[in-house]
Amino acid sequence: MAEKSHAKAAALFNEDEQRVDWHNETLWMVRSKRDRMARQLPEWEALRSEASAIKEHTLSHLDEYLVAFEQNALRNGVQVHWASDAREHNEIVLGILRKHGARRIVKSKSMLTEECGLNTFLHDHGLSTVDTDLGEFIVQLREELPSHIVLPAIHLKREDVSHTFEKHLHTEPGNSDPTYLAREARAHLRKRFMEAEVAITGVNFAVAENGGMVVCTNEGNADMGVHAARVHIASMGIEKVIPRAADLGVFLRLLARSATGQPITTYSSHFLRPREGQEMHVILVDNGRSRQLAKPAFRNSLKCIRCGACFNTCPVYRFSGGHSYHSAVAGPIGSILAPNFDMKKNADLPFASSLCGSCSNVCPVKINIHEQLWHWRQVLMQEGQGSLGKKLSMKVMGVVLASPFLYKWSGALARTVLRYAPGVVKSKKLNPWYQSREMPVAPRQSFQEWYRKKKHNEQ
Amino acid sequence: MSSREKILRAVAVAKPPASALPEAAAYVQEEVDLVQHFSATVRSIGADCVVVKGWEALLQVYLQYQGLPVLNGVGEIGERTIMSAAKREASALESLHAVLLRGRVGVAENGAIWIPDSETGNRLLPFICEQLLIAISAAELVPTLREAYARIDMKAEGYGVFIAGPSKSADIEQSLVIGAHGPLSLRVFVVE
Repeated sequence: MAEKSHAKAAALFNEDEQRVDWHNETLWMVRSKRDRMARQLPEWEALRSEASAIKEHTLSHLDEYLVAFEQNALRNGVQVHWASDAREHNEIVLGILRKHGARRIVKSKSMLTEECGLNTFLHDHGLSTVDTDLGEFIVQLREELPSHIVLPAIHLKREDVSHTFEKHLHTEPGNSDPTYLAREARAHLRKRFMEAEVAITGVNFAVAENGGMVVCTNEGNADMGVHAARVHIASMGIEKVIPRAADLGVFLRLLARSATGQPITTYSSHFLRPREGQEMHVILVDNGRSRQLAKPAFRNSLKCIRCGACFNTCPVYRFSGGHSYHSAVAGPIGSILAPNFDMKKNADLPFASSLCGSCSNVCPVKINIHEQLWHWRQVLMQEGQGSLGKKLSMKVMGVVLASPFLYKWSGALARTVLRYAPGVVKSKKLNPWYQSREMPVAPRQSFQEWYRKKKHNEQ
Repeated sequence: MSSREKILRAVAVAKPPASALPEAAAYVQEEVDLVQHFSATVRSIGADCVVVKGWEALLQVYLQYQGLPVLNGVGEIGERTIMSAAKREASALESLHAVLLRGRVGVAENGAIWIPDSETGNRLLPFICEQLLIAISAAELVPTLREAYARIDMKAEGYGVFIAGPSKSADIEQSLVIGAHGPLSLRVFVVE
């Protein structure tokens, strides 16, 4: 049952307590770096509001901005494609690759291509891409999915990376020095860049007023790919468009500070026109976004700029890891996007939350993530996607709370059992609550009993 | 119906009621010493920053540069030899060691420097070299990205990049490694 997927995966993840503690500390450190950066800007909250309002405005005119972007991109000599869903996106990429007879493909980080399962699709058609972002390169070698949208290999220790590189790159066994490993990856990937025929990138922001696309990296891998290859394919969700270049002066001030606690990524590359002799393509992908846009309760999720700040702060994510979410985009934002893609498969995700609201606090574009998580629960229960156990227990609770007699009686029963037959509740098998919590000490009397007695004594 | 039509129609129906673009967030700009602020930020992001007095001084530094030859992109100090790289293939540029480019806008809040297409010689140049050097005039420094974008004519060139520091990655157990796929180091010259 979908209900158990995240819980089951998280339970597995938590079997290695030391590793979980390390995972938690690592992510909290990234959150702390974000805090330090945010506090340095007195205008931080004003920027968040401004960014949120720009996105709000853009979404309310999205069709117009998409058309404007397309027109300007075409004028720049960029070829523009539209894809209704993941399959169509993948077919378009394949079409371009086949047209050029290209076999050597490099790809910089694109969550959209993960969402569409591009690598697997191309592999099924006899083509392979090399993921050039160091973190994605590592997980690709390990045949894993990224566990974080910004820090794909955050779940791995240096020894894990060393073993992987030893196996695939023949690095020194046991040498897990990050600089050594990074240099080895640099040398290996430099060859891939030099021989690449096609470079696929994502798009952080697509600027409607000039048809340009902005890609942010620390490693320089997007540019190394694009400027050496004959063909550049940029894949983007339709919600990535922003009105003006000037708006980048808001978003780029928020993005890296929220994501990694850096003032800005090393490279913020603005691609407008292909270089001479190069072919440039952009694929505008819907894949459920227009459906999400139609839902008043959930449309704000389309403001997301994929910074990952919500992941770093979420206690559930920190203690369950990205792979527990069985989605291209994990964490809190993933949990409100995924049920829109596939409600049945992802029904467990909005329940993988304590509704603490920390995600909404750190979101640079002020998405009300925790409210949308709650809203999804309402929708999922109504659609019959909740577990039978939850449905029944909620019904029973409703009956008990509505009846003063039943309420009193069940309280008395609970106190009696706790005091005289604690084994019934202090059982990890029978009582899931007890698996990681203590049971409270049963009070001698309920508040009502105390009140009645006190009142009686005073008379 | 093409996918384009399908998508645009779906979006037109789905979109929320119109809301206006916001006013730019106002904030107090107390910029005292841009050169000082910019230099400090550049150093904090893993790059070197040297302040020189005048283009002649930069020329002297360039002529005495230790190590392998530096391809020059700064017109103020001599012939722009980066133009020889203009139409070259990637493989021909692979062995390039050091390149000196002319930045056009420097941002004090994050140490980023704007390099438009026309200042690269070849778009691959700022990335493929081992050591990157950038010269920028003190007059071209601004406090934040907002002012930077006000100075840049985005439509004038086909490409441009903000470069903030040397390439880097923290993908291996959050350990910061300077030098990923781009240059291993960056040195910035601020010309007063």
